[in-house]
Amino acid sequence: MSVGTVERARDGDERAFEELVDLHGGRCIGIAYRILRDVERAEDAVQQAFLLAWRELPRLRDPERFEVWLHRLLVNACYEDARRHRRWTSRIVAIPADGPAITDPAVSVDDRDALERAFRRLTPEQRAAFVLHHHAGFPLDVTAAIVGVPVGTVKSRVHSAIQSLRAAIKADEQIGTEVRPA
Amino acid sequence: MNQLRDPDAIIAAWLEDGPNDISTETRRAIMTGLRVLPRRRTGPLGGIPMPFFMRVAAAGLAVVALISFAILNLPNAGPGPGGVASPSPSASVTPTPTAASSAAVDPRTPSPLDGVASEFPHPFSYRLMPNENLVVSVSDPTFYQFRVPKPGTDGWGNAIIVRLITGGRSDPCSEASPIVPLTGGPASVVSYLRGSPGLIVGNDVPISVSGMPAARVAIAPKGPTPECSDLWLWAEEGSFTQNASWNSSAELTIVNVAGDHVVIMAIGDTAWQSASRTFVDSIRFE
Repeated sequence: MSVGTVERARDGDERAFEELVDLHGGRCIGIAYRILRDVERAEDAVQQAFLLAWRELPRLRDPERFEVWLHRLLVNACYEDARRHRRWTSRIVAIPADGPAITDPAVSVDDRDALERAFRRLTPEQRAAFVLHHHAGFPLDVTAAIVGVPVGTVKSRVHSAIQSLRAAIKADEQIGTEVRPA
Repeated sequence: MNQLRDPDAIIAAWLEDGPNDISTETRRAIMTGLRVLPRRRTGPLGGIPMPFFMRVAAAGLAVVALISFAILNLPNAGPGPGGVASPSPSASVTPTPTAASSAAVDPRTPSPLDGVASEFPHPFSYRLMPNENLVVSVSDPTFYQFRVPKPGTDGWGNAIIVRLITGGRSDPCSEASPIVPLTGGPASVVSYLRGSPGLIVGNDVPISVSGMPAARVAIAPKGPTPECSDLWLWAEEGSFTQNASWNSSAELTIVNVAGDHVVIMAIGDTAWQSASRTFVDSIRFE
């Protein structure tokens, strides 16, 4: 990332900000979608984060911190969305039998269904830590800086998330074994 | 046959499923939105945090300095109580009777700087921004246009539209949707705009135009969708996207004149929107 681009955007250069949107937009969508599990809500969160970034950018003193700062805005936008959709743990998303178009064939429909349900039971904070670290590839200390908690807390959240997801797959395997005809 | 399964590999594969590219619509909505969002200002002291009482003191000092400056410069300031600035050397002193008469000469001839919209249901005088070569035209008495000709073409560039509106639409994406009356002053219009799903609406600022209550707010359409190919903001004829375009943003000044809504739309980039405020400030309703 060019610090100069951030500085120009901070000074009001819309073209420079556009470059930042192009540079970070895809990753932001990826993160927001994986936290919220909904494309439309993810796009809203990304839009909100970038607009807030534009508004608040003049106050960003250290342009080198832009990426962390932007992702913090994004995660906060996701938290806000989660608050608006408090019933998300009870929401059941129907997955078509042949799977959505963007799915990996290595993951069976049953596994995906189990993972989705388990993931929806996680807190937004656990989801964010897990996605930032395991999907976006941020080291734990950077993840901690983004979500604004100590590294130990992030470790704990990521660990809890993984345990829940592993347990979901195992439970699904057991159920599958039990109902499978001999 | 039982197969050994690696849960972490399954989780990793599942986690990779999903979009990793920003959609054109979202990208566009961001770029349109930032044009209507006021930016946080750092001011001459940058981001230095100041206690509240120091901010109050600094604001007070600024007000005192402004008043002092105004008092010292009053003798050179022009006509006074009316508030209309004195004409600049380049300004025409010939009043514009109506836009119709100027259009009779040449539709693209710049109009005189000072004029009166005498056919408007609430007639008003105005002063155009100097050096912009604005041309005044009247589609109907409730719809005055002040437009800048695009050099080298027959088209028009930046524009200010002054129109009387009586209401909005229950679904601004549909011309056939029922009319919604807008009662309750400029705030009701702003509130209506905020409820329009196809529109990004900035912060509104209460102001006064010609001594009448008004609100200033920036808007930008989010972009055409299959469900919303045009934005019919007002009960009156003409859509916003026909007056402007999907790529245009506008600063709206909504004035309550004797219970009616007069909407002044400055359509163009932010510099134009800022410059058009001098025009808005010059308006005097009779």
